[in-house]
Amino acid sequence: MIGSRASSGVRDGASVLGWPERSNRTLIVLAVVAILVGTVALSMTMFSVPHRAETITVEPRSYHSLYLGAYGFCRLEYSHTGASYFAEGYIVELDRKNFELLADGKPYDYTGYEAIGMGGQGTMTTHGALWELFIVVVNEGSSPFSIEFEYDMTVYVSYLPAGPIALAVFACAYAVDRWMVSRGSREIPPALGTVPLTTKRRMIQVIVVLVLMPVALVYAFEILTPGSLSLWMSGFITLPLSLLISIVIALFLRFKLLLVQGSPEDVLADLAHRLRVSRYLVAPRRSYLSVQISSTAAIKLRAKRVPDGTLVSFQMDATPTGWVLIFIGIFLFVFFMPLAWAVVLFTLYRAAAFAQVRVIPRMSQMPIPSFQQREADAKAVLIDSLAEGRRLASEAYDSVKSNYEDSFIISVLAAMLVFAVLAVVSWFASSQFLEGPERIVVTIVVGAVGSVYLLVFQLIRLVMTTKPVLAEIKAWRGRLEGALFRETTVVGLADSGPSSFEVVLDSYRELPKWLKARSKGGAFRQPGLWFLMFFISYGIYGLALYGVFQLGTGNLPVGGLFFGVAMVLVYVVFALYLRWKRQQDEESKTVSDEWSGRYETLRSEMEAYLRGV
Amino acid sequence: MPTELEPLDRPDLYVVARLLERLWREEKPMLKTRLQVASNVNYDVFRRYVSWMTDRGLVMAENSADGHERLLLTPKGQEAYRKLVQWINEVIHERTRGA
Repeated sequence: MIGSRASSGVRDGASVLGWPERSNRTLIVLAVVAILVGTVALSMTMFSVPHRAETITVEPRSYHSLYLGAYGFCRLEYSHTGASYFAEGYIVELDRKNFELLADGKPYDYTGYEAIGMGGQGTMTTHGALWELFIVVVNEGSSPFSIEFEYDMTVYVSYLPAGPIALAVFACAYAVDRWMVSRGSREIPPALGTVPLTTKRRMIQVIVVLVLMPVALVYAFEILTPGSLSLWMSGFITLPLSLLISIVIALFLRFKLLLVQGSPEDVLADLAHRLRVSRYLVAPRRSYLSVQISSTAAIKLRAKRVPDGTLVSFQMDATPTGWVLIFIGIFLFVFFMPLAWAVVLFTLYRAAAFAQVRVIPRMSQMPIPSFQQREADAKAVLIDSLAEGRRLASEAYDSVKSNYEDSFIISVLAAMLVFAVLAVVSWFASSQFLEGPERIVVTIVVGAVGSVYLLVFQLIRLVMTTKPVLAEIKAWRGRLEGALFRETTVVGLADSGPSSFEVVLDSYRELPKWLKARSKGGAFRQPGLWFLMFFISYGIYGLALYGVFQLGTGNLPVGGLFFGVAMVLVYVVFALYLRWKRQQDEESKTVSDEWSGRYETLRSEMEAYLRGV
Repeated sequence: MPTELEPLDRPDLYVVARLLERLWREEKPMLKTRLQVASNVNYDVFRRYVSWMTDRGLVMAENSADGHERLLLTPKGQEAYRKLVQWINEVIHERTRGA
């Protein structure tokens, strides 16, 4: 089978596994597991404060402070008892900045306040994010007082050990990888030529700056933020914000690669051809080439005319899967911003490695045939057609698969919604004739039966409609890859089997389907529109919830207003979606109409040409 | 005695392209039997195609010392194949420009 040969084929005479720009995934998975386990273990043992009890005595016009730093996610519980009836004091919870203001005798803001005195006692429990907390017992009276203070803090995950652990684990993983390479158990194929490692080294320096930048920014925010704002600007805001700044800079950075001769168009066309010969997925865009490096990483290659020739530069890029990872991290702000940051920096490094090891040698190969010469070469043209077809098939496959996965998630969410609605309806409907545990059981059963029925029906429909499409596009991709493999490698050719020309001509018939599938890629074809819809939907949820709450408490004007605004926004989202859908349908129809009969016309034109030879 | 071949009225583009491509890949003249396997048509049909292509100067026959007849792509055949390939390539790029 040609397809199977292609899948185990070679690039540049080396194994597909273990390119220099490719990573050792096993080691990465082990490193991530080690970071997660190590961070939790260290957080629980070193940062947690097991139950402690102490008697705190505070002198008049004085205070006693207790510092707790979790820098992550924890459970904190504290309580106080035993204050005398005449004690004139209070307990405040402060962040570092406001604690310093209190210490200096200046006005400050607090996040928690509780009066002591009149024999009072209290308990406070927090679950969730906590950066730093100063619990300060203040005595405003003229005589000292004492309280029994007990506290207990369990830190589950702390950012503070996570950083050093990540560095240590990745250093170990890198050392192990080098050791495996030196032992020969992991093959790194030679590049096309020997090139100095300047690009990779320069990138490592840039990455070091991008790693240190958030740390500096967190401290800068700490120093520059006014006291009144510092309550809102805890480490949970400043750290993700700093990481976001680092991410944005990394996404927009462009790096000079090489100065070459020739027009920018010819240089990019040459490069695209050479990379396609090596069976990379190359997508020519208006002003750059986008080359897929792995399932998540990609690189943008640009060429610009300068006085001394043409300057080739590169910029990191990501595949739709890569962008999903990055955007999920960014949208889940506090919790997963470090994930998005790590993915971006890693992609940046891979882009540099690819530019260094794969792009530079291809640009140094001489002589570079001119574009016109290549046009005259049937083999080069065949490779070009096959590579283009393979790219479109791959992108169509990714789009269909992405839509399939999205639909799967939406079906599960819809089933959960149906469960909730049916449960609420059956709860109220059964109020007349059922009560107690029977009513609960009936509610759950009605909700579960309805939602499971919907889910199973939806999933069967989804699998039956999508799987054949996926299988068909995958088979086409395999055929094109097989033909491309045959054209780009020197192998013994079988006499039977379809010709590359047939594969190209047949794939031409499939192009409208692939373009249509690709245009339905939704979020990543028009990210701006989809993220706008996402944010509005999120706003609707908040407004509607608040509106319902206000209506429930009898505040009809406010509840009605919020609910009304939510409904207007529902209309806006729906209108945006309908507009997008109409646009897609029109484009699909145009493409289908244009393509209809085109294949037959082309074929008859070619046959007419042959008859006239 | 070889039978008289009925001339091809409307040659199939795929078969012609398959024959042209297979010969185009071979640096040396190719055995007829091997080419017939590549063409994926029966021997009678294959002979009609070879005859049609020979008449138009796309391929030429060459008798070897071993008595086997071999086929070779002519410069005109090479040009015809290149033109077909370039044609479809241009159309694909025209259709998918900016996509």
